[in-house]
Amino acid sequence: MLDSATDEYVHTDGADPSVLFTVAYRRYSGAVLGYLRAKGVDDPEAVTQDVFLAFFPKLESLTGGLQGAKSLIFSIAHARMVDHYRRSERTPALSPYEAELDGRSSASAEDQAMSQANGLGAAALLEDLSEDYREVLALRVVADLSVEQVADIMGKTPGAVKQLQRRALCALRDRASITKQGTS
Amino acid sequence: MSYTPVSGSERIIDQVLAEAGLEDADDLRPVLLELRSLGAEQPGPSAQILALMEGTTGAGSGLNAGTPDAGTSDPEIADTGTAVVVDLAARRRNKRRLPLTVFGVAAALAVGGGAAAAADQGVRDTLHSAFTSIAATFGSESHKPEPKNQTVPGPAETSGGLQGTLPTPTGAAPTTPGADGSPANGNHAGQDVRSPGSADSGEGSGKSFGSPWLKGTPPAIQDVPGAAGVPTPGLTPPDLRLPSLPAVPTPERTDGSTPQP
Repeated sequence: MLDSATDEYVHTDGADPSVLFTVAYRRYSGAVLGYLRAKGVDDPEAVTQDVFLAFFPKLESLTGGLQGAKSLIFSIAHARMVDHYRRSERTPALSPYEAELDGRSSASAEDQAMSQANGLGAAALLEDLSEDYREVLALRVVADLSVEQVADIMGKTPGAVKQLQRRALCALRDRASITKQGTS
Repeated sequence: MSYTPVSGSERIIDQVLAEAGLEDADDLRPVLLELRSLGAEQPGPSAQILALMEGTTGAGSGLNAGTPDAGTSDPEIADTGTAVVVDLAARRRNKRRLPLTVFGVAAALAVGGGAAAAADQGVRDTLHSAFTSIAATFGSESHKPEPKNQTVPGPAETSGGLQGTLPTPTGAAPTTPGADGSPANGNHAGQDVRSPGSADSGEGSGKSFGSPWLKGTPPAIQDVPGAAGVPTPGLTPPDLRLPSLPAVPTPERTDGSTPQP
């Protein structure tokens, strides 16, 4: 296994695009999937495949090695997430009734334990936050992007991203304490 | 290959908390660790992704040497057949835009050239002279058939073979159509002209009346009202201008073809 601290700065200029694509997929596909899950995108696995299919034609003009590839991949993922929400705003969601997806029902203890093991409890906490808070936490914690990369993707300055990140963590802390008090 | 080791996740969370100034927020660490576990699962590549990865089997670049999972070591990649993925949408877009681009450039050049030509006075003069010459050419050609019709009334009375080709009842008034050129006005002008000619004899008026009008000589026209001395409504200035119409070549044809008494 490669050391993530040094391997991400490998220069990939002139390398075989399919090689770089394979490395990028194995390294970042899980983070992309987690980012899309944290953002509540429907069918995040399929959207992850679409992100990498859109990433492959851009490999010829890619610069910056794996770090550049990482930034580009999450930029595509962010755009796909925005497209998803715009599309869902225009079209009504039509789905058959499923009891386990009914928000009016409370989860059992077993479901709570399983969801916490899969990280879905934190995703439920993120749902109560605002859009910007969720975005900055997903990009910083799940995708492991730097402040500058997050600022580039969100179209904000690094200072604004730092402020947003601090407020998001405070809001998440409050939500977590409220939830903990409710369950105890 | 695991995506994030626990130590790496803790390092990232410590960094995020330190940037926010919340190093002492121990209650946030388990929540952030739980949030980070969302990206722990790596999705399996689809068939299209595997097809794109297929090129790594024969590649021996530096990246391939540094990554143990990339290349031929992956059984999923090795089992798939060779597939070449070509982006056809880009080619379609290029082909679709090419005719539009050519048409747009041609239209812009035409508009620009037209505007520049319209702004030039010399070009305008040239065009004006060209149109004038063309109009003169067509105008002269349109007047050429008239002599043929004018030659007809003269011999029509003598030969009678060309009467069938005339559109007007030239037998009743043979002199008038040649003078005016139009059948309707010919009848009207024939009545007017016959009135001053009525001072002479009937045949004499027809013969002496036809040749001066066909010749188109102004003295003959001036003699008509003077000789008659009768103010008739038909001798208005517009009628007087009728003989001066391009009936000039007609006397040559009539004189040359048909013997005039």
